[in-house]
Amino acid sequence: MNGRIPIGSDALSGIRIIDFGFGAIDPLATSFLADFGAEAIKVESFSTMDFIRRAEYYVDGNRDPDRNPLFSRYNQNKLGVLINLKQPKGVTLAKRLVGIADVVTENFSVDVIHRLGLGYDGLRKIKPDVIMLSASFGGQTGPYRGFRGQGFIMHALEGIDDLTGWPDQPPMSPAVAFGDHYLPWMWAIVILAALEYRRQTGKGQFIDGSSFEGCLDTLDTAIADYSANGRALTRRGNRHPAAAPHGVYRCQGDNRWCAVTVFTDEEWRSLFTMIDRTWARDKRLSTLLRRVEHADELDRLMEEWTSGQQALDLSLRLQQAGIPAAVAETVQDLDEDPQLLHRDHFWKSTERGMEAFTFEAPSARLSSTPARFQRPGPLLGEHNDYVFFDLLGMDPAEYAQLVEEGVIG
Amino acid sequence: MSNAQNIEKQRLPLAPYRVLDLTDESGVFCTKILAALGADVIKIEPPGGDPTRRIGPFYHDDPDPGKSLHWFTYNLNKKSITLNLERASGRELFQRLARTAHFIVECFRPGHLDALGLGYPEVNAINPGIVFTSITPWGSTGPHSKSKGSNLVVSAASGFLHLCGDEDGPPVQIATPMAYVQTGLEAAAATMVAHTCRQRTGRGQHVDVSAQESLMGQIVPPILWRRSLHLVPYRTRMGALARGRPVLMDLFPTRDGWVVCHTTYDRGRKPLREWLAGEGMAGDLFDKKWDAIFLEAAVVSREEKEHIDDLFRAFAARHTKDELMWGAQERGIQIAKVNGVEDVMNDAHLRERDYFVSVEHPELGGSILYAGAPFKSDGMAWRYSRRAPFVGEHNAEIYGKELGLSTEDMVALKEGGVI
Repeated sequence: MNGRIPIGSDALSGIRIIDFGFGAIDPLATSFLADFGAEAIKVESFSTMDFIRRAEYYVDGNRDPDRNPLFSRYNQNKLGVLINLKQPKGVTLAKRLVGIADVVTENFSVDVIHRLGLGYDGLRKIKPDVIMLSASFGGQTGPYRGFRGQGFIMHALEGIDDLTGWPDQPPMSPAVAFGDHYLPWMWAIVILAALEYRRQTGKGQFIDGSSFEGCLDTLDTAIADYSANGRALTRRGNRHPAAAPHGVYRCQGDNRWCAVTVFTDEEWRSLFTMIDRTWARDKRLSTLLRRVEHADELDRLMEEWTSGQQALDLSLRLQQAGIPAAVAETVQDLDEDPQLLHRDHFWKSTERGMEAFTFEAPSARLSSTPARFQRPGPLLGEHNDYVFFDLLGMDPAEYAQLVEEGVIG
Repeated sequence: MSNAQNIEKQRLPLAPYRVLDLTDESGVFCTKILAALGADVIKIEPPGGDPTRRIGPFYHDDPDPGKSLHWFTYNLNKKSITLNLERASGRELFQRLARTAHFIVECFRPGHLDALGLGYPEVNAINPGIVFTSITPWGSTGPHSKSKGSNLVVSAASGFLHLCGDEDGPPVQIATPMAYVQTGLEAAAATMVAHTCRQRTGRGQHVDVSAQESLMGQIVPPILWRRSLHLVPYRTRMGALARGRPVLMDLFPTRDGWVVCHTTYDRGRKPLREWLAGEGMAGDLFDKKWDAIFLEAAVVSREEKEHIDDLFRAFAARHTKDELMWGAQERGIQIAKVNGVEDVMNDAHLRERDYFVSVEHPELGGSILYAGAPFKSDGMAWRYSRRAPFVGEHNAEIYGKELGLSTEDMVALKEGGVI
């Protein structure tokens, strides 16, 4: 796979990113841009490879760091080179790469990039209009500067655990490390905005990104509500202040559930027509406010009705009646979801040893320049030849020397 | 550098561009982001006001559509005009505006704008540079494309909801509308991709965003567990799991609230064991039988997990959240406070970095705090400087000054229910 990488006519063709990142956030951000054709080159070395290569995700017990499906997914469509940044010559080589880059991203702990000699002030001397995004937990200043916190730590501090679950029970974590799978798009937006800024001004910039701060839009109106009304929103089960019924209701079978939300009077009429026309005469249920007030009772009535029914069939009948509803799909269900099949959501690789891996399309279909699957996440050093020979014009003797010295490797 | 100097130097990268905003609550975060980056975002409201003005909570709990904190939060920096797209003269005005726009972002049911003659093909015909973003629950085409969605329903269909909640209880949502926020975010990213492409080609395109697929972005690891590792993910209060019962990964009560503890074997569990031992609370954790749990990713029984977690629970109960979090930082352990909204609002880090933005609402006689910028830079800005607009606040500016409608024209359009 060391062949020439063709120059495409994708949305982001011609944009080159040097990515020193690891984990989930930074890799997924540049991978999203690579899905649309940016050339994202991931820099690792044998001694400091992305730790995700070692995450417990091996297929059939194969612990090969080149055969980790999570790494491959988080880095889909990117290229990979090996540069040992612990050697001075490695830093020099990395700087040559920066010289041909539009964007540099990194998420080391604060100060590491400076200790390595790859701080922004040095890089701008090599490439005056380079855009550098340093994304750390708390940013470059403040009490959380240098704070080490992965995803589950982050969403607890952000208030998300407090907002998840039931009002009469302790807080809980959401399904996944929320920020890890939210911030990638935020940083992608910021990088594209910085490219626009460069187009207008000819200038690059250093961007101090804070994961902690970058996620706080997820608090929705809770910030303004606290500020204006002194009220602190907390978890509320599956309730909604302006809809009832609004819940996830048990259906036939093991762990099968259907989400149903009734906002408008029209939806309410459709619902009681399906379930029980006598509800129409029930004064407790005659207005939205009353229905919200009697949400407990409504939930009980709903579950009486849903529990004997098959979730998928129920959701389709509710939708036919104009009521927003859906099966709480398991990840198994997603495999057969006709809408996802229609949109070709899942991408497959035919590379040897990666047939079982899963890759995914971004959530947006662009009509002229759609995202496309070009390659799984890179093997260690998979694109050394392309990057060092074709992009940097290195001669084979120098390459051999650098490999010999462990600078490339 | 002082703040004022900084603001002087900074530049809003999307300032040269105009957005026509036809979103509802499911996509409005997308245009909020474009507005934060400086785009001239014009919210197009039906005469009488946008339905999202009725979404609570409300300023001082006064349910007046002029005081919706939802409206305030998501329409900072934007302008507002009223326009009735159901009327022919309204559609004509829209087409005139579309010629001046660089982006259109809309959340109608697929086919709705096409039926009005205002869909992407029509707008593209008069403005081939347009980036036209459609944000819908399921995407613009496909067997479910005409189905209805809501935040909870889309969360269910994405697979996210089934993985949130207690193992033996129903799936449960997050109290804020995460599907909508995530969808708006991903839509803004894709819109910026199409914009970047346009800068090279001069051509716009249609950006078709699915909320269902957007929230699937949250559950990449569980999807892999299933599709690549053939495991069956299940929900727990500590997030989705697929195998075993990890020890020392849970939420624990302390003297003054909850912490989350998230250890992996060698990093975290070992130093945590030492920490407990230092206070004489490690119990039998140094017995050889537990070595596997502290040195590698051993799978344990429910009883074993409870035994070990109980030792930490007793330790946590003697400490405060801050003692545990900062003590853990020194030792390379992942423990954090479970903050509520009030804690976040008073967080020392956010205060020091001046994170929250105070926006003046002169008509209310005060200002309100909002979420601020996700980054700091001396180059470009992400900034909120103007409160959300009143209904049609910019009609005169847009229709009068810019499109050159006379006062009489505007009165006629108003009487005709067009604006």
